[in-house]
Amino acid sequence: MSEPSSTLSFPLKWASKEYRKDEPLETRFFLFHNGEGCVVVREPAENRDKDHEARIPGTGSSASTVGVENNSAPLTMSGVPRTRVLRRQSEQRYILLKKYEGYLTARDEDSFSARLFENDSDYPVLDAVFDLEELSETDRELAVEGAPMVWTIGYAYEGSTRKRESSIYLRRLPAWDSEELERGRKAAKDLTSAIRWE
Amino acid sequence: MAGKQRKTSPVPFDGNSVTVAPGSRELEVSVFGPGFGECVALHLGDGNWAIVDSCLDARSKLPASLHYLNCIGADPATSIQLVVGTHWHDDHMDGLSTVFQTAVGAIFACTGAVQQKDFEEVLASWTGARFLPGGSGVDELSSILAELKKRSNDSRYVAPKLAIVGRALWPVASKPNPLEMSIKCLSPSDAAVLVTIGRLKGVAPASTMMRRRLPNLLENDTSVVLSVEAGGHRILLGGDLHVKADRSLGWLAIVDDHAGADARHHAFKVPHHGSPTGDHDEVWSKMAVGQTCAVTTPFVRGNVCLPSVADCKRILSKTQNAYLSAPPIAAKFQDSSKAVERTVMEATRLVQLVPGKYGHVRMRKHLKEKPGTPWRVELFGSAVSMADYVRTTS
Repeated sequence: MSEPSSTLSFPLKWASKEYRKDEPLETRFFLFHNGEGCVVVREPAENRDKDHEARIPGTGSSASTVGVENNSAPLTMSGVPRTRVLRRQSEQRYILLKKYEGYLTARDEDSFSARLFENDSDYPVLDAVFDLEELSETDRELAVEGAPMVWTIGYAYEGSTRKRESSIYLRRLPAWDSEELERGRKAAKDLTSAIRWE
Repeated sequence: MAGKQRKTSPVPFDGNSVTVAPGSRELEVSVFGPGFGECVALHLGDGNWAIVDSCLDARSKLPASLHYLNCIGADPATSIQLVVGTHWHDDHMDGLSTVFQTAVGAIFACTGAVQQKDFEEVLASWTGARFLPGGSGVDELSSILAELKKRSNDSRYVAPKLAIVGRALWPVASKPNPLEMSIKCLSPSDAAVLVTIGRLKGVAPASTMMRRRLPNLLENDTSVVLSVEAGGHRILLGGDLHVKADRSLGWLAIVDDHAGADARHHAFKVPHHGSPTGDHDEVWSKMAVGQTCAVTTPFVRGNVCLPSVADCKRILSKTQNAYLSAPPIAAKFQDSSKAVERTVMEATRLVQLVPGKYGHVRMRKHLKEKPGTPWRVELFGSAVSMADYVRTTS
């Protein structure tokens, strides 16, 4: 990890929010490789015009890169950039953009229809037809009329990579149990027996 | 979570003659239908009303009947005398329990199938709003039964009525009947009730079965069909009854039982959203006068859009006085987040907001007019004449 592999320009919009908010447009980054991974060295714009005492071999850059181990040519500490280790950024996170819940209204050989709600009070509601292959193989067996369904849409982050994700799955509600059915029967009987039908 | 208020459909009740209430001896049949659900309001005279089924008003999200009665200055609490649930499909029950809870003096009538023990099983197991969003027709019925139980302690209220073929739901001894109107059930027959009970057994959940929402019982054999008569004027409210191959069931059973010179109707709420199985040549020829005033409501769900243009043409071949409470068109899906919008479009074959359009067809006629005189038809919101709809779609 003694030499920068290259000097790269990244559009700032590729960076996550925490970088973007205070990053000047002129910021440069250097990419270093070692046996295990990469290190990005960030050179703040304010350092650019300083009279640097060391050059990074192979880059032609006058930027100082102290903070990176370099056995062959010790670097001075002037204009020390902050370093960011990519592996530390690779924490996964997820931003939910939308969550629909609903139920299947129909299913045929290669598709299924669903009625979906963001909130229980939604009106009008979302009505959608999906290819069956949008469901995992195990969920396809559960795809029957009335089956409860969840659909989430969001951004998944892995390091500085952002992926737009659509995730469709069927909820595994607990099965009815005989005790619950018996309670339901009693409640329904109480309800109907109190009514004098004409 | 990103998102914005979705666009709602046009609202039919703004700033026009819709707010004018019918005269005390004027007949009125109002049909509301937003693309999912339908409701009929029937004037019983002197500002009293019967409400058949329920759907939601697009803007207020109130049951359409309550919103309408508020608009014409009637108090729903005291003016609704009769509430009928033709069957428990979600698209006919949306808000019906609210209507009944509001109408504190009303009688409730519904299909005779609900009195069966097997229906208790359905109530017991499938009332599932606590698990799943979006309620269901069974939830509505359960709430109505709870309201009935509450009222059963008060002897002022008449017990609920079971709608069975041949039974009169109106008049009721305890209620005024200024138009001398009768409302008679033409369906369900005993055979239809038995068939439905058999079907209910099939959907009753077993322990170990994974919890889910009540599947739609596709066949509507027990749908209530009503024949309304006042001063020689007849109105046929077709519910959601289908034509069946077996003549002891569905529309052909009604034709066989009731067809006759005195049973021809001057207005017809065409059943099952004008679908091919919703009517039959014999229904038109034996139960409706020529050029009867026909109204149907649209149904949009997934790939299903009713009535189709072909359905409209079939109905128009029977009568040119045919109307749609709204065209069967869903609203385009939109979201404030372009990422959500793109993902939804990419992940689906078809996506739409339901209901899309919302409208109201109102038919009025004074009781003293001859039965053959045409109805005064007013269209509100997205309601449209079927002929115009076919012309513009073609």
